This record gives sequence, structure tokens and C-alpha cells, in this order.
Amino acid sequence: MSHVPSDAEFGILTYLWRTGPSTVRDVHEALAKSTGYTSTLKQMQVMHEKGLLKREESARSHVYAPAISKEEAQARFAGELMHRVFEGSAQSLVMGALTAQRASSKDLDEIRRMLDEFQAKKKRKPR
Amino acid sequence: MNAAWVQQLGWTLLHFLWQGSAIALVWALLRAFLRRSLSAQGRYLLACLALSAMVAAPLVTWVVLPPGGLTGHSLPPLAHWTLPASAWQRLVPASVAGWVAGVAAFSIRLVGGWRLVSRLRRTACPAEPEWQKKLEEIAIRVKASRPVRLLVSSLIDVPMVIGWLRPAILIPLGALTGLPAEQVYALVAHELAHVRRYDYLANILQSFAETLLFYHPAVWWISGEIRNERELCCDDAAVAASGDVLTYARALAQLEAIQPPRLGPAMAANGGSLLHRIRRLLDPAQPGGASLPGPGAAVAMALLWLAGASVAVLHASQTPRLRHIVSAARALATATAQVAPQLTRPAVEMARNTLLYDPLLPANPPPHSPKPAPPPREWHGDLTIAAPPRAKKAIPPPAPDDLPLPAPVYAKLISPFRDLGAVPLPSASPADPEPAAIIPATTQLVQVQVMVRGRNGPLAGLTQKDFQLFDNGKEQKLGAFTAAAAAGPVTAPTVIFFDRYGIGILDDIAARQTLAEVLRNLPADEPVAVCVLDTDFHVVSEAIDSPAKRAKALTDLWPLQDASAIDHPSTQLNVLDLIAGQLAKLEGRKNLIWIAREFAPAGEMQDAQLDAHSVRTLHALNAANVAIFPIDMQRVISPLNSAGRIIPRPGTPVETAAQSGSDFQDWARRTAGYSGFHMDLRTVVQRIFEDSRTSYTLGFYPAALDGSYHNLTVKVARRGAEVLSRQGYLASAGPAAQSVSEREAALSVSGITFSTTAVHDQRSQGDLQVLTTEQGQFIPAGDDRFDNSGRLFFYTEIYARSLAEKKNSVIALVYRVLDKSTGAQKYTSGEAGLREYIRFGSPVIPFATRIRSEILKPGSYRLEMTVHDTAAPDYVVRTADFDIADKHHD
Repeated sequence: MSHVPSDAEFGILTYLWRTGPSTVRDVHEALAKSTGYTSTLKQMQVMHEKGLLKREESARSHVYAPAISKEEAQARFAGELMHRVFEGSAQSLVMGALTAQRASSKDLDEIRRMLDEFQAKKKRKPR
Repeated sequence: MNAAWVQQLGWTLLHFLWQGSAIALVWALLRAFLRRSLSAQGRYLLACLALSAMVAAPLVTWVVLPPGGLTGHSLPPLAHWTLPASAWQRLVPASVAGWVAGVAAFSIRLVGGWRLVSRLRRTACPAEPEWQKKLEEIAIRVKASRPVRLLVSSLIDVPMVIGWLRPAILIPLGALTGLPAEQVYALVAHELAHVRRYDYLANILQSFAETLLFYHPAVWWISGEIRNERELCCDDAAVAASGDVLTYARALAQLEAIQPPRLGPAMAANGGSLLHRIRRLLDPAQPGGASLPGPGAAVAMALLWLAGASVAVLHASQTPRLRHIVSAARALATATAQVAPQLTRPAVEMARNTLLYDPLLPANPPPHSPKPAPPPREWHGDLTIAAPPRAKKAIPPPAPDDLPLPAPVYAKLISPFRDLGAVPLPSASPADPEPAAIIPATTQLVQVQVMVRGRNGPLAGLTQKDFQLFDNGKEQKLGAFTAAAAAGPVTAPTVIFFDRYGIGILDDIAARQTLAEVLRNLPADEPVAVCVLDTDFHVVSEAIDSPAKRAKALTDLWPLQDASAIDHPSTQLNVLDLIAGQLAKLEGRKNLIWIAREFAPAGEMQDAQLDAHSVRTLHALNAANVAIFPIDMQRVISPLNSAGRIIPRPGTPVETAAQSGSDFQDWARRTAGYSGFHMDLRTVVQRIFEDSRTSYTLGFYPAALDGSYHNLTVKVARRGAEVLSRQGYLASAGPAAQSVSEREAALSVSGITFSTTAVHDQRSQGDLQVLTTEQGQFIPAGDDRFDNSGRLFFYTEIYARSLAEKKNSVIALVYRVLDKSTGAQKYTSGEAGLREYIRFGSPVIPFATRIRSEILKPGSYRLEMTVHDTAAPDYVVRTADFDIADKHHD
């Protein structure tokens, strides 16, 4: 049952991960899609059916929450063939703020030490 | 492959081997000289210049190069030393072919990457307006004038810019939650700097250069350096915008710290090592960007220089113009050749790196790193591992011979109620006719299905003696009796007609939710179709749909915006007529669960026209053998409670109106349904399905077929028993008219009669052997048990009104034989047009064909025949069951 969320579904999931359980109206307005409210509703109902969303039915308008974790969804996405093959190429097309060459924990410690040192120095001689 | 352009292109590409290396060398030297005086921006521009020179070099070569190739005879000694003459002749076309293949492969990679990036954008959601507003503030400080959207993505780990014409900044969800706001602002400033600098466009151009000149490591090296320097430039810009080095440096460090463990291999290394970057930010005096190519790339470039120099020398010997350009290269080549033996081992590595060169590898491992470059990524491994998992088997694969009907027929036959007919129906076997009797055209067995309820549910075990049947008040002799107490699926197909006219919105929601739940819990093979009347009449789920799909169809209905907007009884009656007409095509009793607001009884609608219509509709429903179960939706739920929740009201009557002598339930009383007093919606619907499992079929031969509507009454000799049976039928002389309403009788088909007697005049039409009975007479078999000798025929009569009207219609027939227990198709006849069998002016087509019983193993089978009238979008399905026994046992 590892359904890979579609792009639009991912958008909705991302919104819900970000803001927590929401109504369809909230999601629709936030995503500000050119499509109508009903499409968003339909989409979320489909996602509910697929087990991507949970639905709290007791309220007057249904409140939806993600049924899968962000990590789980990421893993599904990363498992896709397209993603695995073209990940590297995509990476060189975007400009990430961070090096993808991971800093070791030793490096991180060194960085923190440098930053603290810098801060202390700055305090000592204020402008 | 020796065309002039191939030679020219080949030499151009080969020349780039040394040109690329030379440009890289010049660039590296310049950068080393200017190291102290150049800012990140300066180094960036220098690297861009170098890459541009690399792109320009082949273009210049192409123009300068004399056309034509070289022959073995004219090769200079050095060329012979490098490669034998014959190899040179093959090398040029081969390198062109290799280059084309490489460009194609890298283009695919580029497009794939680009598509993935577009997906990142599509999977993101806009950030909250406050963030967007903050972004615009920062944009002013960074002087990024174009509009930029801020999107939140759950798929990325680091902030990034996507898009050139409509740039967007993607912020990872984790960063928004894991970083203080001011650190996020600092990172946004970095990304905005990219936007201002048109870095995305530059990056794409750079990617094109990589694709075209993929075979030269120096291209990748410089391109990687451009990416590094670009990040450093934006670091500077971000710090300048915020005026706060520390926040920005901390943001970078924090971003790195919150990274989840990476699942796949490391991605491209942009921007150099983080430690170096932060050190540079904190101490601007720190020299930056002095990275050298990795040892592999360095050796590769040296060897390419060697090869390229050979090319140059070779060419130069024939091209005096170029001689002076390459004399330096010749010297270098000679020198390199002398040290070549010592380079053998790295050369092997180099060759691999060159062929499988992947920009994902860190192009610049930290200086002085003793470790060699990591091995190239195994692309092929990825491809195999990532083969998509096979879809889980949800449906057992069809048996090899279980093929659908031929497409053209099937397409026409798809219709909401079609598959209601494909489910087991009570075999209402007519009283054994005289075995040798010829079926008279007017023979008419009227069947009445009866449900009998005692106080505690349906009564089973009644016999023929318990029943009395009255036709217009006159008691009839029962000609047939069948008791069906099916343990399996409900015997009667059910249509749920969800009539939303005039329904309150909350009632509507509650009713749909309850119904969906009931439907979800029904057995999968329960034949239920769901149709809805709101702004339109539509069938939302067909009988073949799964319970889950049916339930979903109901829950997916849009809430009615203004439920009371449309309310006209004649529309509802028209829909009931339509349902009656469709259901008439199925044998036996059908249930119609009509969920609606209260509806006046037939004939009492305070309007002469409506009264007439409603009585006609009631008759049509009875004639079609449809039992109505009206459910009044108005009282399905209680009012909202204080929390605004809808509470379905369990155990409360849904039909309170009926108790006060009204009205809706009259439709049930006058068909064969009931309306379920004192029950909530769930209970009543469940009970309808439950009760349908026990039924009796009474058959009688009416005295007169006068074409009028007759009232029927059934009585049961049990105290307190409630008898549910249709209350009338249409005594019409048309074939099978008992199940066809007057209005819909455009096409009707008699039942199926089996025979073992050969019929004259065999003709073959495709697989369907059509027999006609013009000269012969058809002798019905007295049994439904046959042997597999191949002597099995069936007979049917098709009545098509269009024929009498002399319309140019084609009646087509197809039948198939199914295994009764598994439902698997044994064979299908293929479609046959019956044009030749139409007797002009007569609306009846007598039709007989042979069943290929010789291919059937002993067992129980079902014959399913579909007749289709092309003049009207109309079809009729008839089924009949039969057993095959082995010839020798019989």
C-alpha cells in the first residue's frame, strides 16, 4: 500500500503538515489554485479514500489531517524511479543554500565553536 | 560515416580535448595569481569566462578547421606512435557517434532533472501571507526587483530557488519549524540574491554546456567551481542585506544540524564544504575558492591533453596555419608521453572517471585529502533496484478464456443497470410444459414474487398450499411455485434511488452517510445500483461496482446548495418511469429503495395530469416487477445539537408520517415493498436486503390477455403475516410483456427455451450458428439438464417495435456461457446481426441457435443472452441456467 502521493496531493499534505488539521475551505484558500473549491474537495476526498488523509467527521465541515507522516511520504517519493535516477541532475539545476556534501559532526562542532568564539569576540569590542 | 561533416565534427570534438585542458590550465593559473585581489564575484565571473571560452572553442575550431579528413599515408610519425593509422581512420566517426550518444544521454538526464525540479514546485504549498510579506521586505533590501513567491516544500532539505521567469523560493518545511524566524529570513535573503543575479538562467546555460561538452572533465570542474562561487556570492549578498554575519552563519549551521539522515547517496556538492564557507564568512581575509581538481580529474585532464595534443599535432602537420598554435602542445605531449608509464595505474582510474564521470561526485574534495575520489555512482544499480514494485493483486487474474464481450458490443451495452442481470436470480421455473408442446406465441406465465414477513422477520418454509392469488378479485390456479431462501447474496437486484428534491441539507448529509455505511458493509456481489436525482438524474454507482465504490459515490455527492430550488413531482415520476423501463429488462423481482421527501400517493396528487401520470408510473413499476421501499428522509436525523454536530437518530421512526395515515408509504403498499415504521434508516435498509433473501415466486396463466392493467392480490394462510407482493400486472399479448412496461416496450425478448431437437436451415454467422425455425418447429426440452453431445439448442423470440415501424434497424444478439459457480465465462458467441431473420413488417424475430455443449464439462452453467437494437439505444439481457451431465452417465 505504498501509494506515492501525486504532486497536487503532496501540496495538500504539505499544507496540512505545516498548519495541522484543516477544513477543505482552508486548504483551498491557502493553495489558491485556479481550480474550483469542488476540485479541492474532490481531491481531498480521494486522498481520504487512498488513506493519505484522516477525516474528523464530527464537526459540521469535515476536518482533514494527514494520515501519513512527512518522512513516510518523502520516503515514498524518494523511492520512485524517476526521483532516484534524476535526483542528481535536479540537484545541480536548483541552487540550494547548503552544500549537499554533509558536514560531519566533527565539522559541526568546529563550526559551533567558531561561531561562539566569534560572538564572544564581538561582545568584547562592541562597535 | 566518412561524410565531410562527420570528419569535421569529429576533429572539432577531438581538438577540444586539448583546448579544454588548455583553457582550464589558463584559468587555474589566473585564479591562483589573482587570488588575493579577487572577490567571490570576481572569481565567479572568471570561471564563467572560462566556461564560455570552452563553449566557444569548438565553434572556432569548426570554422577554422580545413574540411576533409586524414588518410593513413599522410599521418605524421607522432600520430603513428600514438595510434596505428587504421585506428585513426576509425577513431573520428567513432568519436562522433560516441559524442552523439553521450549528448543524448546527458540530455535525458537534464530533462529528467528539470522535470523533477518542476515537480518540487508543484508539490509545494504557498507559505503563509506573513512570510510572503516578509520576503517582499527582504527583496527590497537585496534589490531583487522581480516578484518571487515563497513556497513551503516537504520534499527538500535546504532552501532553494526554482524558476527563471517566475522564480519561487522553496523553503523546507523542516526549516520553517526548526529554525528561528530571523535565521529563515537570512536564508531567504541568500535565495533572493540568486533571483536578483539571474543565477537560475546562468545555471541552465551552464547545464547545456555540460551536456554538449560532457566528455571533458575540465568542463565539469569549472562548472562545479561556478556553482561554488555563486553560493559564496550569495552568502555575501545575504550578509550585506541583513548586516549580521552571525545570524546567517548560525542559520547555515543550524540548517545543516537539523538535516535528517539522508536516504540516498549524497547529492551534488554546491558551495564547497560548510566549514570552509562559514570560516570565510566569519573571516573575510580567509582566501576562498582555491579548490583544485580531484586527482582523478587532474590525471584525466593531463591524459586528455596528451591525446588532444596528438590530434593537434596530427592536424597541424597538414595545416600550416595551425602549426604555431600547437607547437607548445606538441612539446607538452612529448613530455607527458615520457612519464606515461608511471601514470598507468591512475590512467585506468582516469578512464573510468572519464567515461562515467558524474557531477554528483564532489568535484573538489578538500585540498590535501589523501582519499581518492569516491567511485562513480552506479547508474545501472539504481535502475534495477528501483523497478517499480508489482501492484498488489487485488483482483484475481481472469481465467484465460474469461474474456469480456467483444468490444463493440460491450461498449454499447454498458449501462447502469446492465449487470444487475448478471447475478443469480431465483429460477422461476415455469410449470413443466408438456415436453413436446410447441410454445404458443401468446403463452404467458405471470410471475409474482412474494415476500412474507411474520412478526420476527421473513417467513421461510411456506408451501404452495399457503398461498392464494387473485387476479382482479378472481382466484387463480397457481401454475408454478418456487421458494427461494438464498443463503448467498440477495436474490433481487436493488436500485437505490436517492431523490434529493426538497431535502434539507443536514438530512441529506446524514442520510448519505448512513447509506454509505450500509452499502460498505454489504457483500461485494450484492447487486446494487445507486442513482441520484438532484440537478440532474445520474447513476452514481453501477451494480458491478465494489461496495466501497458505491459508498464513496454517495459520500462524494456535493452538498445541495439550495435543496428546495427544484421540486416538481412530474420530474420525479419521469425518473421512476425511466427506472421502471430499465429494470423491466431484468427478470424477476427488483427492489427500489426510494429515499426522498414525502411523496403523494399515486392518483392523489391534486392535479389531474399528475394523477394520471402517477398511476401510469405505478403500473409501470408493477409491470416491471419493481417493489418500492419508500423512505422519508425528512425525519432521518434530529436537529443539530449544541456543538453543531449532526446526530443520526437511532431507533426513531423514519416514517412517522405514515402513522398518521399519509402518504409516501402508499407507494410501498401498492407495489411489493414496505416503508419500515419505527426504524431508523440503517435498520430499514439492512432489513430490506435481509428480507429479500427469502421469497416465493407464484406463477399463473391469466385467463385473458386483454392488454389492460390487472390488480393482483396475494394472501397467505398465516395469522399476522405481512404479504409483500406486487399489486398488479399488465396483461399484454406481447412476448414477455409481463416484464415490460407499455412505455418502454421498444425492444423485448422472450425467455430462453432449451431444446435438444435439431432445427432446420443452419446458417453460420461468425461463431454464432444461427438457426431459423421457419420450416421447423421448436420442441422445448422438459428439463434443464443436458448431456455434452453437442445437441443443445436454445430458442428465443425478439420483439422489436422498430421492426413493425419499418425503421431500418439492426437487431444484434450475442450470448455467452458462464460457469454458474465461478461466474467465469466459458465461451462467447460473438455478435450476430439478425437482419436476415427479420420478416418484413413483423416485429417478432424467432431465433434459435446451437449451444456448443460439447466443449462444456459436466457442471452447472448460465446462458446470458444480450439483444441490442441499434435503432434505439436499447438492449435486453436474458439468462437461463442449465446443467451439463456427461453423455455416458445419462
